[in-house]
Amino acid sequence: MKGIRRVLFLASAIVLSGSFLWAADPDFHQILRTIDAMQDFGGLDYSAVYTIVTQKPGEKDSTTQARLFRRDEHNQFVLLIMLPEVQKGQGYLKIDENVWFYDPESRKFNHSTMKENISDSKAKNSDLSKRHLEDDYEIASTSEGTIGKFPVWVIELKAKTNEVSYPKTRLFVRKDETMVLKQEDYSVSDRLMRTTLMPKYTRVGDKLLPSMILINDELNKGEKSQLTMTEPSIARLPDKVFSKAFLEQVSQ
Amino acid sequence: MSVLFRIALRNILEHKSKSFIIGAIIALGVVIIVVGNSLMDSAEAGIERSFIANYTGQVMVTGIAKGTISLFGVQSPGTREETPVIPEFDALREKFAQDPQVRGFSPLVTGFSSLSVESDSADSADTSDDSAMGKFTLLFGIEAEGYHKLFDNMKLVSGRYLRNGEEGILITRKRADSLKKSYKRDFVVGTKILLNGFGVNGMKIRELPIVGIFDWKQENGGTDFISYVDVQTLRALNGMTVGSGDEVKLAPSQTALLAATDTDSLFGGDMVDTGVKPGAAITERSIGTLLGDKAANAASRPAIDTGAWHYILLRLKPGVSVPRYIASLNLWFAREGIQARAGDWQAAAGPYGQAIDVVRVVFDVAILIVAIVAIIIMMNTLIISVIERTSEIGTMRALGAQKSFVWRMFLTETLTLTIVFGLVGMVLAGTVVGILNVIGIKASSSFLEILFGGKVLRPVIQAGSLIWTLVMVTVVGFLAHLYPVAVAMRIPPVRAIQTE
Repeated sequence: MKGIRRVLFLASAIVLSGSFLWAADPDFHQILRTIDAMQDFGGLDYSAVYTIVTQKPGEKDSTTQARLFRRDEHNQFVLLIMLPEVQKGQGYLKIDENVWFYDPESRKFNHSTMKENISDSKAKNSDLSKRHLEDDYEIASTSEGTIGKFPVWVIELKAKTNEVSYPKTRLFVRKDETMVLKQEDYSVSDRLMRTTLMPKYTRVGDKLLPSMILINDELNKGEKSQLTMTEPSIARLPDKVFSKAFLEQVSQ
Repeated sequence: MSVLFRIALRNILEHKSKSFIIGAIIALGVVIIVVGNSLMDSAEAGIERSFIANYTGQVMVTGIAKGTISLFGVQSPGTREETPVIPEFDALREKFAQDPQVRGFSPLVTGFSSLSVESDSADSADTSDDSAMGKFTLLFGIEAEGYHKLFDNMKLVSGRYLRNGEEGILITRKRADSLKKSYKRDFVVGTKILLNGFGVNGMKIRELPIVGIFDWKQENGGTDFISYVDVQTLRALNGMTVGSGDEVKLAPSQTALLAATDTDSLFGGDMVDTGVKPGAAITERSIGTLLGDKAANAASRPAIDTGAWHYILLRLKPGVSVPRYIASLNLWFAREGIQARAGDWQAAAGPYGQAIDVVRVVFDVAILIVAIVAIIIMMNTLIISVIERTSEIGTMRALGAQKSFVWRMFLTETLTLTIVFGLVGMVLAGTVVGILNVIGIKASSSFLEILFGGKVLRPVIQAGSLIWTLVMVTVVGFLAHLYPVAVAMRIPPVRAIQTE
């Protein structure tokens, strides 16, 4: 009888401890590191074409197409505008902390920022660059929720630096697989500025990248942009791509 | 002299102290209103003169937009709206050139830009908020020679005006100093400045030499922001092109998310898309072809619209009524089917013009408060005065005086007091304004300089203001006598006679 009791006690202890383990929150810093790593190509180069269609009430849809080049190992970023015609050949170049904007009509560079909107869309340069969530933000709070059919962790982040586009951000991360489904960006006064939805991802090498993104402007209701990624590649890019000379040459 | 007036005069003289108190209140109210009005009117006239002479002209002609158009762009709640281009510009130009009422006119394009210099590192620039404001400018794109003939608004510190067709920029000495502080280098005639335009068609960069540095002859609202450039450069910065260029063919999937009303429904299926085709490798050789055929690109790039203007600013000949001219112009636009609109200097000055209305409303509210206080004080004094005379009223009524006679008697008394002391107040106000006019009120800050429309305010009294004030105090006197007399009338004559 004693033996049976011991076995039952042991079994219930195992079950209880298991359920406690099951209910325990995950390491949210690890989730941020995973998100950062998911889009960090490290020693590889990354390029893709992004088509951005922007809708504004009462206006014709506008389309911007840009080719993105990244060398994350050296924190280098180039965005070459291909459409509309009036902006063809314009580009952004980021080397270390310096960001330049290039205008092929005047063949001049000017200082810019990663916070700059791409063309007249709702997307910013920083949306396409390597993320540094773990370095740029601290976790303010966490909770649980659901997006569509997916249970998610809701992680509220507060910026540690002025370099980021928004001082407060709320990420909705899938529980079963680390994928950001939704992102809400807030102002310092907690006003919702922008909501970004990432319902489609694609594998590029061993990384998972959002291939379709919807950005809603929460300040100007009804204004939104869809970003669609095509032609992803992790083939080595010529070094020249990450230089002013590249932007000058490509539109000459 | 009528009986009523004689009785009124007798009563006023009999109750000297009370009459004097009421009269003093009326006179003080008149002094406040007349002096205040004269300061407001003179400031308003000064502001109007300085805006018209500086950069608005008397009439501004624009295209039509959903929002309100001023020289600072279109104010559209919640969205950014492009300043419309004036339709049928050549027809309008011809009309104004032949119009005998028009002294002169000048077309204009405006746009916002930041100013910087070419450098390899962002570290060389001061990035403080103050510095950012110093680098931000409202550009006026002008047809140089015609513009400077119409607006004699600047004193050149160095360099010269722009010439027609010449590319360059004119900046104020204040801005040159502010840029020097930001970039730690001199900004003098010949220095090349990078202009970063934020047009509706995205960002554009142009480099221009400083052709002239100037001081405003008279600063007012908005002048701190303005720099002058040749119109063609500003059209390029604004992205004012002929035709939009391209119709882009999109796959349905590239707009699928935009149509979603229930965003949760986007997260129902498999999230990983395996259908995205990988791109081709990019090599040194393929770099040159990334943007397609260069000759075709050059041919399809939308050209700058060399005939596009946002505004025509007009100055009229002396004696021409501006409101009437604007009304007739708007009628003509409607008749000819031209999608244009004419407005006055205040519309052109945008937020600065509206600020004057705000000041005027605040002043009017203050006057209203003064009037209400004056009515209450007069009413109280009259109540005491009337109650003291209750037995007199009772006796008059007992002797057969009708209610209407007593009413008229008090009304005549009040109006006599109001008009006499109102005139005394006007004489006092005239003296105060005369002294202020001779001395002149100096603007001790740039804010007051904007408010005064110049460095010194010399107030003058307008005849209309005097008439308006006299009417107002008469109405105040009339209103103030109603209640106390009504109180006295309610007392029966027998009781009234018994009252001591």
